[in-house]
Amino acid sequence: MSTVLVRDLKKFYEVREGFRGRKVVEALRGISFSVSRGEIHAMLGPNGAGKTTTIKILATLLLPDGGEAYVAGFDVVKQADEVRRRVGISLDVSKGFYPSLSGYENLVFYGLLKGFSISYSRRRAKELLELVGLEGMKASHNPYFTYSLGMRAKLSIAKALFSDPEVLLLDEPTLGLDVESARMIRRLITELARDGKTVLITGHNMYEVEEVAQSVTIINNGVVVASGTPEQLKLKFGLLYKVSLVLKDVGRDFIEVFKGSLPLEGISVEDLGGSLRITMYVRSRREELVQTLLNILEKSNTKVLDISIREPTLEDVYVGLVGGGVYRVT
Amino acid sequence: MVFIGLLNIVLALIYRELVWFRRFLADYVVSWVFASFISLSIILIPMSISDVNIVVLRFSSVVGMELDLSTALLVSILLSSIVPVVAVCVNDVAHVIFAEFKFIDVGPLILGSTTLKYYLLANAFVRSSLMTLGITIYLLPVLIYALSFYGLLVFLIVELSLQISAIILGLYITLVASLITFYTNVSRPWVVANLLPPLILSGSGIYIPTYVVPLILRVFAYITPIPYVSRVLQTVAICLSLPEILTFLTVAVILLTSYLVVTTVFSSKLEFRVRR
Repeated sequence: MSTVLVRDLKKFYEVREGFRGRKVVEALRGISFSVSRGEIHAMLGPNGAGKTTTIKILATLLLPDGGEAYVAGFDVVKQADEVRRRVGISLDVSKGFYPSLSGYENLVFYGLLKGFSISYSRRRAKELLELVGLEGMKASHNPYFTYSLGMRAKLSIAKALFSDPEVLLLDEPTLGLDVESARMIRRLITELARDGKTVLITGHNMYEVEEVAQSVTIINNGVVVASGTPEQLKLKFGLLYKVSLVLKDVGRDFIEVFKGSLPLEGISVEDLGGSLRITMYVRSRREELVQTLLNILEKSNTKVLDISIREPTLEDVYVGLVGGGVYRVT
Repeated sequence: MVFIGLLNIVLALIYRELVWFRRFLADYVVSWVFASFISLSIILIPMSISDVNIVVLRFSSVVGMELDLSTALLVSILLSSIVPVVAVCVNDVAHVIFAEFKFIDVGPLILGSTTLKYYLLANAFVRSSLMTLGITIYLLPVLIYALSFYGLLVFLIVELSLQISAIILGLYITLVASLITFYTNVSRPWVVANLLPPLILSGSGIYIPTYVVPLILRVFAYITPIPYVSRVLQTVAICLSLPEILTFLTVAVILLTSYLVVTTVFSSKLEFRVRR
């Protein structure tokens, strides 16, 4: 059973145009996806695609205009209180807390607002500050307005974890973080999913998404343009491997050997003076590609100076889909 | 369930206010000094450049009762305490709503953990009540010093009256601040909030007899409990007048009920609007 289920979700905004004019903006035009328990699901899309709107609806901060959304089996509209108990949310990590309260005080306030006792809230706030690595940074004393962006992001994650929620909704959780902090957050997210928490994240860092997410939904202009595991997406869109070879003492006619043996989409040759750099775009499974290459090179007894095979990345899928049309190299 | 929900918010708000009180204690000290300075200056500065009897006579005519010097000072001290109460209730309750939902963006933290309706109601009660206690606590030593044991009784009556007034003001300003925050695109909402304390105070009979104040200003004042609490504080300083207190309590109950009903209905609709 899906822990997060979104079916044909719609959301419109009315925005002012001029003094009296109004315009309707369709933020979500019927998106659907589901996330299983313990899964890390990433929502990708350009700015304004509808990612944050979806997260806000799932966190009950916004009401949808159509469709259905369920979190842990509860309707986000009709059973909002139940949903709030099961969801932890981190939105815009740069703000969202009282500037004149410390991180610790903000967390205790949040805990009390959520209905926890003062003693539990204090204990939990300390635990979480320690977990996200803020305890040693005087987060218990210094007011929030003195925090760096990294500290704010960590506090935001700590807030999302406060009620030990079943579902975590994290909107660009590593935005603006230094390498170490981002790595720490990614590790934390992976560990949380391993403990059975369902995580829905958004972001623009494809490397990060590819590293942590088990499934991906790409949305653009309020509609889902693709979904599946990163591997499925790469296969589905028939992306290419980029093969780069530097061969010693071969003529330009050597490329004919590759043309006859590999399903090439494109090939280019660069003379490096005594050696050739051959760059090929191949549509093939990786294992077959490697085997064919090895066979060719072995048979021709050519001296190989350099070889690299670059796999298609999630970024290639994303750019292809959001940039208009499937990624192609010729 | 509703009671538990409200209780959670009240506890959270009390915690927040206590932290703020500790952090901003210096601000409170300044306001205590400021209010005490005004209350003494009203009588003492004119006295230093004029005759004592004339000053007391003039002050008696403003209050509408014959006073001696010590009673005039006491009336001045009590009346002056209303000024910071109106200022903090109007400005702080309004500003916290502006800030939470327009500037520092704490809205998601609140909306993600509770209902906006209960939060606004609890904020109106707790913030105005605790701010009033914090801003008027200086009266306790002052009154005990001036009136010994009777001063404690006077303080309790004054504090109770101010608390009731503050809560009504809190509800009133919650309505105004919510309208500005959620129904307009005003970028500097504090400008509107800053206009209210002088409007309310000018028609309330504090140092300025209401009959000399234009009707429109009196309307602004009389939809709040401030003119009535001002009468109570004047009479408490002179002698405990039960009819005056009862009048105040009657008006307070009417105003409290009205604002409570309107704020509850309004904030329910607001909840839908904000989440929409």
